[in-house]
Order: sequence, then structure tokens, then C-alpha cells
Amino acid sequence: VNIVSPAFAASIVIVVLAYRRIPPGWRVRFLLVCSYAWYATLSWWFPVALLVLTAVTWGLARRMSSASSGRGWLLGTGIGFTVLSLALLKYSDAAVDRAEALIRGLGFGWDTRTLAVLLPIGMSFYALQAISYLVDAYQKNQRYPTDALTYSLYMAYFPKITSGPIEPPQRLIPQLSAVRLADREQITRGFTLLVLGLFRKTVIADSLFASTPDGIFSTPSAFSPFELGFYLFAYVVAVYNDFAGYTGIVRGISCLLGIELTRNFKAPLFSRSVSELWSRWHISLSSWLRIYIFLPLARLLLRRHPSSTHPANLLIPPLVTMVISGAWHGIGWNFLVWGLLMGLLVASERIIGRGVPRFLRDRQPFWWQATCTLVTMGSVIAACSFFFMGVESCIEFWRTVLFGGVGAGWPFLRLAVMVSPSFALDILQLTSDGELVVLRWPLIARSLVLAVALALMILFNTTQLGTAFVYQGF
Amino acid sequence: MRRARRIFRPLQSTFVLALVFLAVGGGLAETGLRLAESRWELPIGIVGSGNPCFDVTFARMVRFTDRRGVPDIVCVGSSMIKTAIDPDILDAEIGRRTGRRCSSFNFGVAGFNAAGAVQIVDLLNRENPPRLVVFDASPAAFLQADNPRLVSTEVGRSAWFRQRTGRPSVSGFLIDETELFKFFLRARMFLEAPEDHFQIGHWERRVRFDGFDARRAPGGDSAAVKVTGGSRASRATPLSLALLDGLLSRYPNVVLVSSPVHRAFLAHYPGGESSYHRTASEIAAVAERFERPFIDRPSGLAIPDSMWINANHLDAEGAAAFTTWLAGKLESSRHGLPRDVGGSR
Repeated sequence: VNIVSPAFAASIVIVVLAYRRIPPGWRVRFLLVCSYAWYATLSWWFPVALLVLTAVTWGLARRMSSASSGRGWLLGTGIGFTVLSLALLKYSDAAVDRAEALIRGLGFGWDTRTLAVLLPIGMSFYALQAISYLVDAYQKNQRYPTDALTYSLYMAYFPKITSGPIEPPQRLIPQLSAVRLADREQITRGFTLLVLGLFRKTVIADSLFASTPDGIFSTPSAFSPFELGFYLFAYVVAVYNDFAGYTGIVRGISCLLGIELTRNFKAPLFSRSVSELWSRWHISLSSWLRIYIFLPLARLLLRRHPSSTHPANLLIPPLVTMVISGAWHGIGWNFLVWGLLMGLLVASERIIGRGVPRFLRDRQPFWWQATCTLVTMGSVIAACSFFFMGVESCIEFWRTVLFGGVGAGWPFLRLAVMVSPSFALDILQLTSDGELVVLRWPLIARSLVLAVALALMILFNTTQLGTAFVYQGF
Repeated sequence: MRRARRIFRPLQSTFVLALVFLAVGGGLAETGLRLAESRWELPIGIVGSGNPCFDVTFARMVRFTDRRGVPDIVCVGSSMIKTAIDPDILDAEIGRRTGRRCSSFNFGVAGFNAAGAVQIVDLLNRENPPRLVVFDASPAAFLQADNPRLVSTEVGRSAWFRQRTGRPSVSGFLIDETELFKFFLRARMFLEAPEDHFQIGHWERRVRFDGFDARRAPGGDSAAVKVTGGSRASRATPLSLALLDGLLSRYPNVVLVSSPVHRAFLAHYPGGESSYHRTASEIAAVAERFERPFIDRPSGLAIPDSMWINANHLDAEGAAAFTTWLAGKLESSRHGLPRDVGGSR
């Protein structure tokens, strides 16, 4: 799915202009048709899966709102159906492959190609939205329109369907039903987000991906330890810019329609702790996990063990939450290990954090913040190696890093040139306390920055094949 | 339209000014790069062909044409031609023999075979046809001539080449029409493909302005002559006579030359020495059909073992010997050297 393409840009212009012309009463229907039509261009099967999930969860939510008893069962059925559908589609390919290998190992032939089912792109994202809606209905917390059309659009809204942000219903549904046109301020913000997103994707992320040698994660022993370290760091920066770029683009498009989507990133590479990182990286997923996994689990454990310093209270919620996050991200032991490591990092922070001297916690001197940032990023990037590789490759990777590999490659200069725009953007946004700080600049400075960004985007985009957004793989 | 203008009005001034900056900045940079002085100070910009040697050689040819006009003779082929013909010596020899001034350029490209060389001839004849194209038609040049995975065919797939041969694209247009884009590609290669960037620098240092590889011989005797791994490993494929046939039928300014190889190479040619000579006679037959000369190295031209870098590449002294001999053959050949070589154009 390439949303960085002239065809997609042309279709967005048509949709935005048409949306502003059609009568307000038809706007939800119009966006719904556009969303399903666009989703159908990816595969005929995707809108079918989306429609089934939407119909089932909406039906159960309606029953829950009106029922006086058995609502827990309805919620369980809804969540069970959603999670099972997701798990079945997400893991079916791997399960079928393993079954085929097992049966072939027993000496029987079995062609499983006919059983292959394609996981609808974006299902991991909109399935979580369905769960949020069900929980809201269960808690009778729905202070927003609950008609079928608006809910269908909430699930299918095209800018965010493939990779989020994962929107809570109380934030998105009121905007969808209000059908308010974008004002001048929103259009300006929309274009700025769009340009920033495109810049992150085409100039920073794609270049970093392209500069990463093919075998860096599959045959790490062919590289030097320095190369492995630098490329792993650069790859994390690439994934960040890829996803932040995607989010910027879809938020910008949505702004042009007058609908605000959640900000997903707040300079995560400057986080001073892993807990802070998860409040800055993929914010919509982190918030969902915190609301629906971490907090309920923490409350449950606190009821059993009232002391907040009890090991179970400190360890279990972050571990369970992050392991679930790992399983959500992908199939394979490596994702579970990644989640476990992240959970351990968060849990250890909760334990070690209590031993930090009070003056450091209160005053937060610069050297202390810088040290915390470096330690956090070092440990997170190391844990992320499991995100990019299978467990065996990862062990090989770290063996090479620690005990030496081949050659003495030193790609520092090239990678520094390529990652510096990402850090410059983040520093700018951090220090000015706003992601759209550029809008506050004088006209000449603003135009100059736009000119440079446009030039680089044109140059970079015309000399490479666009790569798919990494997070569409989840 | 009015509605659309109203939507975009908040951004109008920023966008318009940005476009002005873009146009002025781009124009200034392009002008600066186009100025001759600047161009000589800078390393070369590339066309993104996928073959660093091709990019460097092509840039050299553009600079050659800027300074000295379209060359009278262009020698086209692989690294074997690149190391076998010294254009300065060719010019001097032809001048001495005919009394006319001649300018020649060596467009040998490492990694190319006959299929890649045909693409160069197509390009040359399409734009600035030289009076004479000396085409490397040695049997070695036809090894794997129909292998689509060879580097030489990547040039044909590049946006720049497609633009040049009538299949336009945005990137093809930008590469072809602007110096800025060529230098951007070079910078980008540094960032994303350091090995290729290193290769460009390597060829820049090795290839002189006129396109001749000026490496000196490592010295030694016949024991130093080694057969390169490529020819030993190469699988013999049927000679693509159609390739040669098409080339000669399209371009009357092409003469065929067999670049020299050491006798050790013949033994390692797929199918052995007899196969090599059989292929050479097939090439000669095609040339005969079109009444063109096929200048094959006679046994009379003895090149000592000390003048070989390896079994199919000559050093500077070997190149001098071969080029002198070639100039004589071109001069004496009825179809070889056009009468107006070196004359006014």
C-alpha cells in the first residue's frame, strides 16, 4: 500500500474537494463509501472481514446497552470473537506452515496453498478499536452517537485504517458524526503535518532503509561490530521515522477533512526512561494497552496485594502488558522475547526508580537527564534487535557485536548525516513544545524550510522505489 | 475552482514563496554546476546507470565533447578495449600516417560485454555520431551476451538511458537535463551505496580524461600472466549473431575489432582454443556479409608476456603496441578509416 504515490494524492484531492461540496447529511455515508472503496482496492476480502467484525461487534454492543443482565457474557463474546478472529487470521499462515512441515515430516504430501488466508491489512489496529467500543458499551460509558453508520465509519475511516492511530471511540466518533468542515487553521495544520510526514518517510526513513545492507540481520557475522551497532541504531531511527511519517501523513489528510486524529509520537528517542518512551512512542497503542490491560491488571493485583511495593504489583502488570504488545506486533518467539525484555526494563525501572536520590528526581539536572536518555536508548535499541530478527539470528548478532566480526567498517559519517534531520526535527519539537512549531515562524523562514523540504522530497522520491510502511506489516 | 482557491488560501503565500525559493535556489545551483570552471573543480556527477565505470566514462566523454568536440573515433567495448587502446597514441599514429588531425575516445566499460556495448553504440549514434566506431567483437565479448543479469544490461534499464532512448520519466528527465540531479545522485550514492560510491572514486582516479586506463604493468614474465576467474567460470552461451547483425545493419560507421587476449586465455575459453577460433570465424563471416572489416589480431603482432596485466588485459606498453598496430590496420583498411577523419566538421 503506497500512500506516497501520485495516484493516492490525486484521490485525496478529489475526496477532500467532494467532501466539502456534498450536503452535510451525506458526509458520513460519503466517507464510509470512500473508506470501503479504498480498502477494497487492496483486496476484495478485506472489506468483507471488516464488515463482519463491524456487524458482530456493533450488534453485541447494542445488546449490551439495552440488556440488564448477561452483559458480561456479551462483552466476553465480543472480545473473544474479535481476538479470535485476529489471532486466527494473524497466526493461521504460520500454523498451517508448521502443520504442513509436520505432516511432510511424517512422509505425507500436503499442499497447503489453498488454505492460505490473507490477514486484512490494518485488522490489528481496528480490532482494538472494536474492543474499546465494546468495553464502553459494557460500562454504559457511551456519551456519543451510537448509530450503525457512524460506528462503521469509526471502524473503517480510510486515513487510519491500515496502520492507525488506534482511536478511542469517545474521541473519534463525535468528530465523525459532527461532519464539520475543516477551517483555515486545520487546513494549514493538515498541510504542515502532511509535509512533515512525507519528509520523514521519503527523505529520512526510506534512505536509512536503503542504506542498510541486506544481510545485516540475517548474516551478522559478515559485518564488523561497529557496523552492526550503527546499523541497528539507524534501523530503529528508520522505523521511527517510517511510522511517524505515516502518522503525520494520515493525520494531515484527516485534518483536511476536519477530523483530528491522535498524535502518535512525541520525540520518543529523547525519552529518559522506558516508561516515558512508551508514553511517547506509538502513543495510541500504548494508551490502549494502559487502559485495557495494564490498569485493570494493576487494580486487580492491588486488591490482592494492597502494598504498592509488592513484587507482584511491580512486575506482573508491565510484563504481561508488554508481552501482549509483543504478540500483537507479530508472529514468532522473537516478538514475545522483545515484549518480555521491554516488560523487564519497565519493571526494573519501577524497582530501581525507588532508589534514585531525591534531589536527582526533583531537580533533574541536565547531565542526569542526558545519562538517563543514553541508558534508556541503549537498552531499548538492544531489546529492539529481537524485534527485527529471529531469536537465533539475534543471538548470532550479539555474539558478533561482543566477540568481533569480519572487517572494520565504520559507517558513522553516512549514518550521522542521514539520522541528523530526524534528531533536528525532534529537538525542535521538544524545545518549542509543539510539533508544528514551524507555523509560528516568520513567512520567509517558513517558506525557506518548505522549499528545502520539497526539494529533498522530490529528489529522494524520484530516485527510489517507495518502500511499504513497516507498520502495515502488523 | 474558486472553492479550491478558498481552501488553499491560508497556505498560498508560504507555498508561492517556497516555490520562488526553490526556483531561484535550484537555478543558481544548476548554473554554478554548469559553469566550466566549477565542473572541473568538482568530482563527476553520475547518471545512475548501475555501473560506476560507465557513469565515469560517460561523464568523461561529455567533458571531452565540451572541450574538443565530438570525437572522430570512439572505441566501444569492455575493460579489454579500455586497457588495449590508448586514444592519444591512436590520434598521433593516425595523424602521422594521414597527415590529418584526429580525436578519439576510449569508451571501454569494465563489466560490459557485447550486449552492453551495443547500447553505447545506439546512444552515440542517436545523438553525436562519431565518424568511426571501433567495436570490440572479440569472441570473449560475446560470453554471456544474452545473460540479462549482467551489469551491462542494467544500464539499459536505468531511468536515464530510457529517457535518452525515447522512454521518458520524471527522474530520467531530471538526470538527463540537469547537472544538479547528477550530483544529487552522487551524494545519494555516498549515503546509500558506499561500495558503488567507492567504485566511482576508484574509476575517477584510474581513468584519465580521455578514457584510457593508465595502469602500469606489474612486471614479470609469462608466469605473471594469469587467466581471470571470470573467463574460467563463464559458461559459453550461443553467440548472439543477431546482435552483431543488427548493429552492422543499423550503423555503417561501425568496424569490428577483436581485442587482444593472451594465448593462455584461449585455453581457458569455454570450449577451448578451437571454440574461440570458430567463434572468431563466425564473427568474421557476419562482418564479411556487411562488407565490413573484422580486424582480428594476427599472429604477427607479438605482445610480450611482460606487457600483460593478466590474460585478457594489456598494460600501458602493451596498449601502445596494440594501438599502433590498430592505427595501421584502420588506415590500410578500405572501410576502416573514413577519408574525412580529422577534417572539418
